[in-house]
Formats: sequence, C-alpha cells, structure tokens
Amino acid sequence: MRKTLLALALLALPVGAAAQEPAAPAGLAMGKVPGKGPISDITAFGRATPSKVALLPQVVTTPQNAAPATSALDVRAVRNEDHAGFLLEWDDDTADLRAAVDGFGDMVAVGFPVAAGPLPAPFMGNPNGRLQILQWRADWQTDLERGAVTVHELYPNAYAADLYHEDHLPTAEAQAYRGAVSLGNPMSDRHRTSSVQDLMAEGFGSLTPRATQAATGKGRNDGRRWHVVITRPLAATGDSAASLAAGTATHVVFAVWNGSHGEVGARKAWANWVPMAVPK
Amino acid sequence: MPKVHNWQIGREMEYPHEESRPKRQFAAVFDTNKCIACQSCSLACKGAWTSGHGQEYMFWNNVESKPYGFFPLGWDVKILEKLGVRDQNGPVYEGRTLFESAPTGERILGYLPEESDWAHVNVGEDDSAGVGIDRGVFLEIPHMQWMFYLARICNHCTYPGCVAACPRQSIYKRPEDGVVLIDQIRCRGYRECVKGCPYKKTFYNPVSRVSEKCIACYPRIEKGLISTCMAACIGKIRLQGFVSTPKEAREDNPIDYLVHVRKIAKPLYPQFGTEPNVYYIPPVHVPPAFLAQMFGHGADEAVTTYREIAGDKDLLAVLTLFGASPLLIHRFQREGDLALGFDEKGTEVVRVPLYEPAIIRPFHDAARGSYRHNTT
Repeated sequence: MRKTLLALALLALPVGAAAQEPAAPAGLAMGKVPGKGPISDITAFGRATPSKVALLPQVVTTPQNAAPATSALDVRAVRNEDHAGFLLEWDDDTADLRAAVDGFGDMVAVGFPVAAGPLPAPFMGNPNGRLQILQWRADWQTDLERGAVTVHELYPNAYAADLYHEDHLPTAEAQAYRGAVSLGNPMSDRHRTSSVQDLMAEGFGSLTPRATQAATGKGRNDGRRWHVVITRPLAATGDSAASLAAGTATHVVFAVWNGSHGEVGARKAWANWVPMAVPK
Repeated sequence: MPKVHNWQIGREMEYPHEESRPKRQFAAVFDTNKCIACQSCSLACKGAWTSGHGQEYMFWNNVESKPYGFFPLGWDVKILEKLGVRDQNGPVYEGRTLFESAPTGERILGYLPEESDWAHVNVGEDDSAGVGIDRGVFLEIPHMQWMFYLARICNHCTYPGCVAACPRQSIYKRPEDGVVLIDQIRCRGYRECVKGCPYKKTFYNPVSRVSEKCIACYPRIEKGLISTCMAACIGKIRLQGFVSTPKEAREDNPIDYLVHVRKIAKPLYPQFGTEPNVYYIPPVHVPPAFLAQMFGHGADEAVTTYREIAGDKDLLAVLTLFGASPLLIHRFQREGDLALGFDEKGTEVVRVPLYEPAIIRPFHDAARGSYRHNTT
C-alpha cells in the first residue's frame, strides 16, 4: 500500500484555505465501508490507505514541549453510512493507563474546523475559528474496562481511611465536599460511557466539553504501539460540531500525548491541518 | 510580560497577568515561637475538607519541623536550589523571582514532586535516624542546636504561582477577599499548578482527576468567621484578617500593625516573588542567616522587637488577640491593660486582659497550720 508522507511541508499550508475546498492530493484518503453505526472494529480499516503524519513540538504557547516523545502518527480513515472512523497508530512502548499523583495517561486527539471558510489556527483554534476536538484518553478507557479509579488501585498499600464523610452524608450535604465530582466535571465522572471526550476550542486555554457527547473509541497497546480508533457521526450533532457529510472536503488536525514523557495539555506533539475528502 | 509591583521585594517584577489587587486581601500571621506542632490545625482542616476519596495524602494545612521536615519532601530546598539560593538582604530584592527565572517555554520555574515525596507527612521529622548513630543520638550537621515548627497553608498569594502556571485560567483570586480557588469545573488536571506553586500547596486528586487546594474556608469568611485551622489552634499562634499594601496600611488593623507598622511578621520566602499573604513571626532562637533566607529582609529586627515585647503594650495587645475570638477581627485598640477587637461593623467582639491575674499565696497556711509545697 502506498503511504502518503504528510511531513513538515504541511506547515506551509496556508491558514485561511477554505475548509470546503477539494482535498489536495497529498491529503488523507478516507475509505468507505458498508454498514451503519459507530466504527469500533479495527478490521474496518483494513483497506483504508494509511497516511503518515509528521508530529511537531508544541512551541507556540506556554507551557511548551520542545522535545515530544512521538514524531509520527499513522492515520487511516473510513466512513460507513452514518459514521466516520479514524485509526490512529503510533510508537509508544510505555502504556500509561492511569494518571497517578505524579503521572499522566496517554492520549490522542483529532480535530475538525467547525465552520466553512478560513481554517482556524491548527493548535486550538482562534476566536471565530472553532475546532471540534475528539480526544481519546487511556485512563478513561481503563475506567470502562476496570471501573472508576480508586486510590487502592493506584496505591495498593495505601492506608485505608476508615471514614469517608462523603460516603455517609446525605447526598445533598455531601455535594459541598465533593468538588469536581458534584459539579459534574467530566474529568471526574464515575460512570462514564466513552473513552473519547467531545470538545470544542476557540483559542489557547479555551478547550471546553461540548454539551453533546457524540464520539466513542477504543485503544489497544501491543507493548510497542498504540492502536486507537475514534468514531463519530458524520452529521454535526449539537453546537460547535463539524459536519463530515459525504462528498465534502475538509481538514483534520492531530495531537499525541505520551504520559510517561510528562505530556499533558499544551505539552504535546501536534500535526498541522491535513486535507481530507469524505467520499460520496 | 506585564510588570507588576511586589512590595515585599520592593520593586516591579514580571508576572504573566496584569496587577489586579482584590478589594481586600485574606491574610494571617503565625507566631512560630508558640507553635508546638500539635497538628490540631492539620486535623481540623483534614476533617473539614480533605476526607474524601483521592484526598488521602492531602494536607492543605500541615506543620513541619524545620529545618529537617518538609511536606512534600524537600519542597523549599528543591526550589531554592533551582532558583539559585538568593536571599533578600535589603528592602529591594536584587535577585530574580521564580517568574523571572522561568525556563524557555515555561511560565514559572517549578517542578512536579514525585509521588513518594508526599508519602511521609510529619513522620519521623523529629527523630534521629540513619547510619552512624549506633551509640546514641548524634548528628554532625550544622543545625544541631535548634529547630522550630512551621505551620503552612496556602499563602493566597497576590501573584500566585499556580495562577501564573495554569494555561486554562482555571485558578483565580476572588476579588472580594483575594482567596485563591481552583475552578472545579474548568480544571482538567494538567498539574501545571502543582509544578508552579513553590509552596506546593496545590494537590492533584487522582480520583476526581482535577487539582484541589486550600479554600481558606471561604464560606466561614463570608460569615465573618475565621478559618477552621485558625479556630482549632490550641496554641493560639494564629491571627487571621486582611492585609493592606504598605501605602494603605491602617494602624488599627491588627494584621497591618504586625506586618507594616511594627514589621514583626514576615512573608515566607519573599524571593519567590509571589507576594504570599501568610506572615510569620520568626523564631527567636534560629541563626540570622537562616531567618534571612526563609523570611527575607528584616527578620532579625523582627526577632529583636519580639524579644522586647514585655514592655511593649500595643504590640502585646495585638498578640493577645491571637486565638481570642472565632470571629474575624478587623480593628483593634488598647485600653490600658485590655486588648479590644472589633468586627467589620465596628462592634466589639472580644476584650482580653494583657496580663493574667497572678495570685501568690504565702508559703505558710495559717488556717491549717501547714506549709504549702508544690508537691502537696
């Protein structure tokens, strides 16, 4: 299979190119598979053309990541009747599945311009230039597989506190002491249903969960590489959502975080806009 | 980067955000000479705020034994070593702050403690241990003859390292009282604040996956009450209130009187540049060089003033109000040998004698025909 190298030259892609222009030949080739619903099976990507996307150090805003752990991402994309799927693969021989007190989980994200017209800044968008960002998180997937994280899973020899007030107070009274949990911060969700967070951003520091969470995904680390599938509806669902309607052209951006390398937030490896055509 | 004025270091400095002081600034003075490390404060805070899942290791308030004790391990010596151990030996700090020392691509000079650094809060700090002490307690290091207890909470800094470090603006200072809070909805657990706070008073909760910190018991402050750690202090080492800038200092504000008028209370590591708002009366028995490093310019003079307090009734009056009321004292005055404290509306809330009555009973008890001994 032909591998398309979308390397540093992509940096020269002018921000401001129309989102609906036909994809450039060097863009991401999205394949087509039969069926409906989320594309969670990795075998669905078997016939999709892989593209190697160069990842770059994030040195535009602080805090920076001048020497990211990951330099390239292998991407395949397919769609079925109503969903798109992205298979994202990269080298990482340290699967960081949980975020302990001084550790971070592995993550990968794909982003889309919300509106047609000039492309937003590729990092986190800009005012009036929103991105929809789908971020897969290893620690969230571990929640789904093992249940919500507990201190004794992270630290098996930790002293067992004999009384957690929040477990014994009436719910309404306990709320005041549960911080992010009681306020509904998705980071703290004890009953999550997806390992992918559906977000929007319009500039550095503006990343915000969308009211509609429409993406799912699944990742597997084989001891050498991560293989992560992120899937979402083709249609834009809710506010600040990008459409991937059949027969249109758009662009995608990517970012990878290696937890063992201390990568989190802006400390990431990123890729510039990659043209992508959604097949009819 | 904007320039802001930091009165503690006597000059302008670089800070990622514009200067924006709150209407009034939460502050406290801790008298290190009175602390016995009973940890009543630590446990009061623990029971009130950090008894939840993921908060097991957290002590928003802790008391550590200096110079050997730390929570987390080595917090101050590590950042001092990174900064280059620059003391403030005069009214103007000539060295660089943590903001001015930020490496390329960073907002502040900092580091993320390792998880084991949090593992031994106040455990073994006062014990002699290790190799070479098989013939009794014997330590051949410079600090043999002295130690003291340092109670610590979030300093609710005027220029917080955590606020500077957070790329999401998830941390803010309340305009009404300067209390520094982490927005529990916006936080995404990056731990930039844990790296950036030189005092290591922000904590990552691995269960809720966001960071948390001392909230100064702001629901109590809103009701005119002092914070839980202050109220629980059986040694009465703490006085809570609001501190002004030097230009706006009020002589009848007990915090201003100690910090600005008498200059007996000093910030913790002013050279960091964060303008911390918990002030310490330095320990009287500690080498001046150490005090200069920890409390900056004028620490030695503060000790001298403190040593002469017996004949200094105005100063004694303020110190008498430490731990005297569960209510916030906004104004004080001395009436003869009485110290009076007033709330925000000017209502008297506490009246304390400067001297406790002393009754000396004669050695011979004539009524019983016996002599009094302190052993009977």
